Amino acid sequence: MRLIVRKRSDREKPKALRRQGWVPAVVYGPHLDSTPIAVEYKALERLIARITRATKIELECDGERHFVFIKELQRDPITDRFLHVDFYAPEPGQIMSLDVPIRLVGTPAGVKAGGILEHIHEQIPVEGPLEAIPPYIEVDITELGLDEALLVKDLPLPEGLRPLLPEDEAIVTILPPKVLVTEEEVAEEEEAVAEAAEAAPSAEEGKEEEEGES
Amino acid sequence: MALLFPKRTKYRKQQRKRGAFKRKATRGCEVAFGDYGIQALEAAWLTQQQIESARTALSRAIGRGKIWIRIFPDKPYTKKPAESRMGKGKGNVEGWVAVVLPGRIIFEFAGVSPEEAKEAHRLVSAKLPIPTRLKTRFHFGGEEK
Repeated sequence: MRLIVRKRSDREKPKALRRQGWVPAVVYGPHLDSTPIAVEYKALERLIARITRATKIELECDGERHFVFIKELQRDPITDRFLHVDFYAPEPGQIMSLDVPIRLVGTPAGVKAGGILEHIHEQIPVEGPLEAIPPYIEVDITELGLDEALLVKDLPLPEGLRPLLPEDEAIVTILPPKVLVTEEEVAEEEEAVAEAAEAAPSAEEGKEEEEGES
Repeated sequence: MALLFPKRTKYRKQQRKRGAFKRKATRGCEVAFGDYGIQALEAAWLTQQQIESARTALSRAIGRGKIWIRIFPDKPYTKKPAESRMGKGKGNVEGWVAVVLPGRIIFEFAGVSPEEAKEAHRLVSAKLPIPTRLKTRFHFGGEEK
């Protein structure tokens, strides 16, 4: 993935930039001082539509090339427009910790049986060398039944990557369906209990009578 | 579920904080737990009754789905008794409200189809005093299910 950006001076006001169709951004890393840049809004939108949060991006800035990750993406809470991006340029071979999204494949058996799939962690924080970090982790969940969970230790992590969550932490669970009880049903149940309570003493009386006769 | 309010507070009454409505929310603006969120588009004090009423509507609308309430009414509001003269101090605590700013996610829910979510939002918005919108969880394009 490639993104062409330009350097921006401190004098360019972010609001004015946004009006002109640019998104203010910054790129930094262990070997790179914090450099203010600007990204074309449409180019950023196209890029975001294709990548995950762990995809390595090739950033071309005035002839310089950097391999970067998106570290932070700010959006307007109401309009959802991108406001600012932080790009992080790691050094080759650097041990990094970042969130890798988990992609679920297949429909679990528990969902077919009426359960609800709860995706507790949509991404997992991992630590490892830069080269080992995949854009996403794919996991097959077709065999998950009701009340079963996919744990961190069940994830097929690439070699060299270490999860930063406890091994027994659930990633996905299949919750059993919640049964909705309406007021009518509750009333019916109460009636049935009351009828049973009435019937029980009469049956006992009947027994006593039978015993008396014998 | 009973009405929401704090178990204990340090002070009984609070000032209203004029001007608190003149900004957008900066926290609690993204759908963080469920698949869908109901987002406030205007500022308001949401009372405990309104929150409970909307929660009940949402719970009935989505059936077996899961719900998260992202706001909590932790601000007491007071009222003076009817036909009382002005003065003689601040009124009694009448209830509790959550201060909601534009952009704030009020409820989140999961386990429903897009059509069901849309209908649930319609039913819930009828219980709230402010315009709201249905917001889906933000994903990068490559992370879409």
